[in-house]
Amino acid sequence: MSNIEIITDEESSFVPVAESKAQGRVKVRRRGRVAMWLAIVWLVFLTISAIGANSLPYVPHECEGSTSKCSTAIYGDINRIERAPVWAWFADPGKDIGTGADHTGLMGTDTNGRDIFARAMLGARSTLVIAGLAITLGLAIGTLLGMVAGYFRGWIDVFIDFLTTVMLSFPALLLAIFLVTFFNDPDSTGGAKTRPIWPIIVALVILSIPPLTRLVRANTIAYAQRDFVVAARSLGARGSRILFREILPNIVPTLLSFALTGMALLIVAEGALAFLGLSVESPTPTWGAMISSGTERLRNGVWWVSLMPALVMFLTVLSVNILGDVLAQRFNTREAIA
Amino acid sequence: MRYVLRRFAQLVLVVVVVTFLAAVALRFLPGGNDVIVAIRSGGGVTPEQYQAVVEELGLDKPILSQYFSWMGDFLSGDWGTTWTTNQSISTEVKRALPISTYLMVYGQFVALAFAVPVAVWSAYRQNSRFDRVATTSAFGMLSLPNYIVAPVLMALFSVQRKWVPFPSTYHSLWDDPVAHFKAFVLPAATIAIPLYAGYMRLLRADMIGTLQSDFITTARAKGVGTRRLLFGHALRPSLFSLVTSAAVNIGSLMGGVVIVEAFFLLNGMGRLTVESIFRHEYPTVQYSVVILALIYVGINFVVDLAYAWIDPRVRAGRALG
Amino acid sequence: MNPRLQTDTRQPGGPLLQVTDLHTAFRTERGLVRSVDGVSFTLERGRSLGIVGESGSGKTVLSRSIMGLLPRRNTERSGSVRFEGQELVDLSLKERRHIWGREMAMIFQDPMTSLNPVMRVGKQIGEGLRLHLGLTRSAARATALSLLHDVRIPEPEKRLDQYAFELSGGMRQRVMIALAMSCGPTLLLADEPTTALDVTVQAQILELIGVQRRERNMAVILVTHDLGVVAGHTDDIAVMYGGKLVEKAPTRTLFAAMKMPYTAALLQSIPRLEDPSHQRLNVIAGRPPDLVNPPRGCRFAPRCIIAQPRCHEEEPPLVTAEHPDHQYACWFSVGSAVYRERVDELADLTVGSL
Repeated sequence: MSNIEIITDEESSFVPVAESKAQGRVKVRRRGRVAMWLAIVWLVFLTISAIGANSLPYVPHECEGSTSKCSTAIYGDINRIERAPVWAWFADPGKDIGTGADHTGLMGTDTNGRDIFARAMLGARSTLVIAGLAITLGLAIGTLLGMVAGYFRGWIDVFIDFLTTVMLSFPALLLAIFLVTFFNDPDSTGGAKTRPIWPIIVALVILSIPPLTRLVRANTIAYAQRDFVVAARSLGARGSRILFREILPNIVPTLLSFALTGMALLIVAEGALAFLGLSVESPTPTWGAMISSGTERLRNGVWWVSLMPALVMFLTVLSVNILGDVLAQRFNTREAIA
Repeated sequence: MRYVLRRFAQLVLVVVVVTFLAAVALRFLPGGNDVIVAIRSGGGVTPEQYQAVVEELGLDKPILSQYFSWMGDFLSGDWGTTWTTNQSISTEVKRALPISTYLMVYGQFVALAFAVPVAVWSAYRQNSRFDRVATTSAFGMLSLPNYIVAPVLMALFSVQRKWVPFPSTYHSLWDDPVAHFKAFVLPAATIAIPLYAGYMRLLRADMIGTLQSDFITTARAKGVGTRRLLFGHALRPSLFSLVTSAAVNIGSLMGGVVIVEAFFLLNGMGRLTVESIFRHEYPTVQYSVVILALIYVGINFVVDLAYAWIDPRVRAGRALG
Repeated sequence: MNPRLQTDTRQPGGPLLQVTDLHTAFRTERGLVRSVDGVSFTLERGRSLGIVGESGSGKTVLSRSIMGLLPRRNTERSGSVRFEGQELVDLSLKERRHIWGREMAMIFQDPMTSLNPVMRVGKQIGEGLRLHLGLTRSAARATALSLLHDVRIPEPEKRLDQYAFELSGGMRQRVMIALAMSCGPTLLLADEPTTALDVTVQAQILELIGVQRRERNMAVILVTHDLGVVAGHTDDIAVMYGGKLVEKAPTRTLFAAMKMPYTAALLQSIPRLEDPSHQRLNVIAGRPPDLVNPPRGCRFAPRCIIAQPRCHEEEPPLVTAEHPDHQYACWFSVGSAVYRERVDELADLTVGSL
């Protein structure tokens, strides 16, 4: 059907289509570009806010002492418990709320009077750091394993494949939960020490390695058979040199797209752990914990405590996914992650 | 045949490793035996009690024999009782397993029931408004974690509208079907959403590819109608990825719906495992994790076999050697 | 039943197929691709017409355009296609579906991919029968069996239950032919039916098509790039270039007295068995025209050995040659003074026959 199917054929909604002006040309679709830029804007905004979260009095408030040290994220204002966001004109003000301005803040305040927006931005810190670190480490280890398995084949391939299968045969979330609990409190009496951050990262890294290894292995095998690798080998290049100089540069695009999509998944996973109370302790906020604590209040109609952090998380995950998708389309690779 | 044997060998090996890890994990808890004994007996112990506990848990035996005795217990069904509440572990698991199964089945069913027609029509009318809406919304759904969806659904349907009770108390299908389904509606919907999105995208992509095949043109040129063309000709060769994914999900859903079960307070396997982890009920954790892993691995094995059998090309290829 | 499809609007007396000024274009990112740019011809009942051209000449698009088997989006079609007097161009999909398979059938180039890989052969053949003729499953199976006999497939009973991949290329094409014949169409369009087959099998398939044609008094349009294929198996030949019909004549006349230099070049580019080995192949220099922005004047002019200034300026119309059924579009034509001069020039420059 070669000369019939000249119609532009799009596989993803987010591919930017070339613009055209002459008559008779296919209609332009700029939707994809819009989404991509929105995603970038959101992520930049989030990062900046996260870095400067401590000086975020986006909601006006008074503070004893100097205003610069007063973080609405950590110190709540008793006079402003559970206020709906400024724009929520429909929020019913008659809900256990005291006197004073009924609406406040970009996202309202929570049960302790803390500004939700500031908390969410602060929570972005831990989430982005944890997910970012985890995906990077996972990427490094998984790529190594995958390349070794894919290039050298033989016993090591069988072994690595076996390891991967074993790791994949545990339900992912349960594994993460178990690992975190395992590393977290060795004694049930549980001292009041602040939880270390590394168990979560380790758990997330372990989660992300198997699919990455499989992906890299498949790609390595495909590239290893190509002529330029054979040529390099005939020139006497050693295995490691071939791996890093010839094969790795070719799989980088796939890796990048996986990194983004994987990071989105890890953000979700971290959120899940936080939701169950397993992530970093309060008072440091995390999105999952905020959502979780907010659900109790949901029944009384106080929806913003839970849903505002949920919105922030959704936008973030969506943005990262969009970027990952754009990259995947740009480099024309579509690997199923889950 | 060789293929089957190879897969089976792999299956056995994985099972061994999984059970081994589960059985001997206790030995590697940070803090050593002291910690475990403290958990088990809930406080201070005399040296005799200490020794008794150690023996009971097999911590003094060499690794392999601990493994074998654990496996013996596991296979014989004598799983002992929980540490704190003294319930029979096997009963707990037997109670939880059907609940998770129901949830998984309902979730998959809903997801597939929507995904297939939407994907088929999207692929057929590619780039139409329907298609664009479907694709974009599916993409969005993939970014919605279930711990966001669950509270939202709860707020919409249990609080605002009171259609469905919250939390979902489980009723057996036989006792009270209406209550049974009501209990599962929201949880099933929660897990169905990302499932639907994934399936829809998979099937749509494959359908688009198939619809460009020559044999579809031939069928068209024969005068075959649209519905028959889509569902009778194009759908079947496009189903492979979808079926594989759905089958694999059977296994992973059983344990992966922890959050949904925890949120809606459904006592399925996921919730059982997590609560046990929190309460340091390690034997329960061992058994339930192993069960879940076995289900997952077993299903993957069946999928591999079925895959090889379904595709007549593969089947004939094997017959021809 | 849709009144437009009732056969009393048909004119069985007239020509079977009448194509008038057919244009088919596709909208792409680069612009409007005019694959078929004003083609007209007539085909009588039971006659066979070969449409010959390079890839990109528009021949495949033409055949699909006649059928109406074009994609919905980004396709523009104009002109008239009359089948037994009835206009096909403005029929809806449903109406076209009634014709497809029953009155007009098409077979495609690659039988491996054109047959459903996961459906048994018998079922595929029977599908049209059950759909158009309303046969029961057993009747369809019996008819499919006799069809397989007709196309001379060995062991037809066994084939009914086999899958496409279990058959050889030649057998698959026979199945395709059986499929196309199943409802007794009056017009068969064969799009490069032999290109994907071995040379030895090619002849058999063409022979088979010829036999079926005679037995059923069916008209055949044979689309191919291979002049050798049409030489022995068609009554008339139409040559396409750049989306236009550049020469049409009864087969013998064409080979004996071709007028269009392109046709001559095509003929000469066929390698001959008796040529000495290592003989350089005669290729037509240059590439097919860009169908988005076709050249002014004659489309073949950039590659024509006798191109004159006029050829680049004005597009030659179709004129009739000595034989009344022979039409061609060239200002100068083979055999004219200009042509002979040029050929002599080139003969002086090159060694070996042109």
